[in-house]
Amino acid sequence: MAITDIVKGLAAGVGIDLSLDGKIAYYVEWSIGEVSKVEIDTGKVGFVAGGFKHPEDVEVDWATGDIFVSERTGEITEISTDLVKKIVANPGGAPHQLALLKQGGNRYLYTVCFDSGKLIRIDINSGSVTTLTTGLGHPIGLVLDAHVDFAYVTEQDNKSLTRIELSSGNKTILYSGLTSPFYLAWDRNSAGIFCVQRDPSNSLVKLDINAMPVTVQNVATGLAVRPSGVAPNSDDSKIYICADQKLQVISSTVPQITPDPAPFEVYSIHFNYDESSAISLKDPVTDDYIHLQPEWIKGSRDEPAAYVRSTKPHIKVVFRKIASSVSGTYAIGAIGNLGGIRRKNVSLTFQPSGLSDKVDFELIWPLPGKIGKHIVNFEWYARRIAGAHIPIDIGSDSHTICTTWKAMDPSKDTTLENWVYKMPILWTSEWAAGKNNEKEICDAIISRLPDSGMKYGVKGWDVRDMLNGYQGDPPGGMCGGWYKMFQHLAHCQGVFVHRRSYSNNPRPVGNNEVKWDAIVIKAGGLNQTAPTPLPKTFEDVNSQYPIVPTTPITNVTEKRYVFYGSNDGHCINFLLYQGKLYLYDASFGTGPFELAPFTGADAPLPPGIDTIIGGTELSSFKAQYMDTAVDYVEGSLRDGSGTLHSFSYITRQGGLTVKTSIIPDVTGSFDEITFKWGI
Amino acid sequence: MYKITGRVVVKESQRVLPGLIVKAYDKDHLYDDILGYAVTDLDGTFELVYEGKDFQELFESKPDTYLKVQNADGEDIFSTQDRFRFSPCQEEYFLIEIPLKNLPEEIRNMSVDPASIELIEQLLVPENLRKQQFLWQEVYGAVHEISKIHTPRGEQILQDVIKLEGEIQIAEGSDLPGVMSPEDTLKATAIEHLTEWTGQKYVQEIKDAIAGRESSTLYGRAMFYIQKQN
Repeated sequence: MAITDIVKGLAAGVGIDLSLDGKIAYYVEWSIGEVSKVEIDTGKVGFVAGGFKHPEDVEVDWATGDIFVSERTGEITEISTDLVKKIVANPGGAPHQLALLKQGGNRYLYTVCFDSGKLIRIDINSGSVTTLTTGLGHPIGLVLDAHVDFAYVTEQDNKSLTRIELSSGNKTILYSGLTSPFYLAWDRNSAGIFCVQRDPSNSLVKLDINAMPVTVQNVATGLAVRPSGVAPNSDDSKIYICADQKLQVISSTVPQITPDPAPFEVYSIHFNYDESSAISLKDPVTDDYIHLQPEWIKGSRDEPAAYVRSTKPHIKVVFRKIASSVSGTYAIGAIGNLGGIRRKNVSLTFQPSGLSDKVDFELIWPLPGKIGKHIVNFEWYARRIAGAHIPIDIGSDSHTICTTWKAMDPSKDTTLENWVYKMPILWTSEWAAGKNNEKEICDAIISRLPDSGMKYGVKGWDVRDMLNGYQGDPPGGMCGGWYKMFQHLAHCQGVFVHRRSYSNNPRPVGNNEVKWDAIVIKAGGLNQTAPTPLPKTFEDVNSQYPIVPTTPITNVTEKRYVFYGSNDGHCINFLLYQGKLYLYDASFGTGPFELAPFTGADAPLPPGIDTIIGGTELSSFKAQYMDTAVDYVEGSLRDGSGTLHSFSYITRQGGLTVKTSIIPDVTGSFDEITFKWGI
Repeated sequence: MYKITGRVVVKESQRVLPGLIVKAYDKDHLYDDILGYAVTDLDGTFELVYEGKDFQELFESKPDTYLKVQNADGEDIFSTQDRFRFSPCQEEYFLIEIPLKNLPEEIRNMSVDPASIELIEQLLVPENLRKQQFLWQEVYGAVHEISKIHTPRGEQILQDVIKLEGEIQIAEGSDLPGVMSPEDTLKATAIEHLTEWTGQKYVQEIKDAIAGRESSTLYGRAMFYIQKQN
């Protein structure tokens, strides 16, 4: 059995009802609040009625032409043949699938209520509502047997087909294990019940209720996303499915539906226009905003857009005329993997250039409620609204759209802006996909940082230079760039991390000794196998400090980073989360290191205005982080025999390099390691 | 107007001695008049100028000049008092050769590598910033070298470093500064030493140089050094 699209471009299609001759189907669109009908053989769609509040199902009295609609808000509405709407009843509880019963000259509507868990019967004439049973677990689908002895319903909670004896209200689960079971329909023999299964199954099954136990037969898989309604014709040779964005038929024959040529096509889409809720992005090469022109222009431009998660974006769309003349009003919208674009009626005005004025559209659904990088597809359609017409394809496009954790807050740091560069937001939206708090986001960023391809140990001290590559070096930078980069990356997700630098504080301590001239690091850093400077010879003190005559000194020639002098050192980031202090070292891709709080004016952070602190104030910092991250501290020191090993600022060697972990916080009352802290 | 120029060197090696204070005196019957003082420059040279009224007494038309050399703390290291120049010309040159044994430990090794001076002078030429490749360790080391001793030329060089405009082209395989860009690291170092040497003298020049950089590490560092000297 083939699955063929009859109508493309439904705005959350739900219930469907097929005429007895199988030629006309009525369906409701939940998102747009409309009832439409389609000529099955031609695919021509015509508007019936609108203004509903999230319609769930449509049931037609084919004898009289009256149409009944259930709405999520609780109302049951009748549309007369002259298209006058009247509320039949308002039972509340979110009535879903309807079943019309004519009995003794009366007409009744049966329905199940998703929220209240009730099966009810509504007397159409009087509007009175009778509760037949309660306690159903979020029921949705409903059929009645021919003798009106039983109702069969789908329960979301039990994933079941449940039988209810109408006289007693007794419930029996006939089959459980269905996947998101939705609407129901009898097969031609009234022996089996078709049941639509929603995500992730997106399939149609048939349950044989005469078998004991009830058996399930697969009818079709691979239905359009979020199928809801089902309506077979009289011999089950064609089974119509109303899905989120399409009305499809399951049949052995493929219907031929030929739309007219497109009168116009989608030319450009602008996500971040004035007043838009999109996040402003910049191109690091030009340093211009990406949104200075539409992010997508057919055939020539395809740039990403970004929004805070759960945003429901509006976009501005320009169309290009194809036909020599375009007139009339069209219902234009798009289907797509995230729900598409809400359809609206538009009378286009084209400029001499052949391009239309910008038209505002809205996505049908909010963007995902989680961080992520999404490829969003739109398949655009247009249908003339006068009379019945086949929706026409007017173009398709694909976009990269990021959803972020929170809105950015540029007031947190003077270096932060209300925009970010393109690549950082693409990276972080992918790396932190699905993360649920600031700490998880920062942890994801630090662990995935190598995936950026950027390196440590190359020239670059600001974000833009790092992204572009500076003075011929590959993208990346030194720590003074990396701590800004990490802050920028977190900022993309609306997370604020502090930045701090700690620099050497060389102090003459008498006897021509100086503590300490430099910090020395052996690791290569991010995406580097070894430090980038040329090798030098170091005199390492690994085992004992303070140095005594027997302290061994080991000569080593190798590549190491040496950051020396009172105006150099290293840079890191801090996150304050739930009262705890976490250190991240983006240069080396390490962290988080949980530290005890610092004391002082910026507590629990280290000082942000250049201030020297050391000794026991650095105890936690040193023990938890520095002892492993900074291999050595170099000073102009005397060895055990009294010979001075003087550090040279020109050769950046000559001093004694003492293993950091063997240096105590204090020697007597002397603070051994002190740093100048700042931003 | 009288002028005294000269150079202070180590007698045995002729190595120049920068950063020393040279004071000129007029030998008098009662009390020796100080005529003026200067600080030896990076090349050990000095120059001081004085007026006639600085020495003139009754019947005296010319000074009887001698020089004293002091360290940066004002302690006497050497004197030419036993070798007066009687009634010198309006412009006199002194070569002061101080025996090594007279020099205290901290002065004995005092010198500034001439290569460092030359390197910084190259760096400060705007065209070189764009064209010439520098090794960071040499440039940073050179600024530190010049900063070791307070000299007039050193003070001028550090002022020029603060005003440095453009990006230093760093050679491949060079060391790189971590915290700040090469330019900012040099400026911070220059600000550190200028404020240490001269207190608030160059505060306006420093503030001009960091204007608009309030969010930078350089700004924080500069303010730290300025306030430290308050």
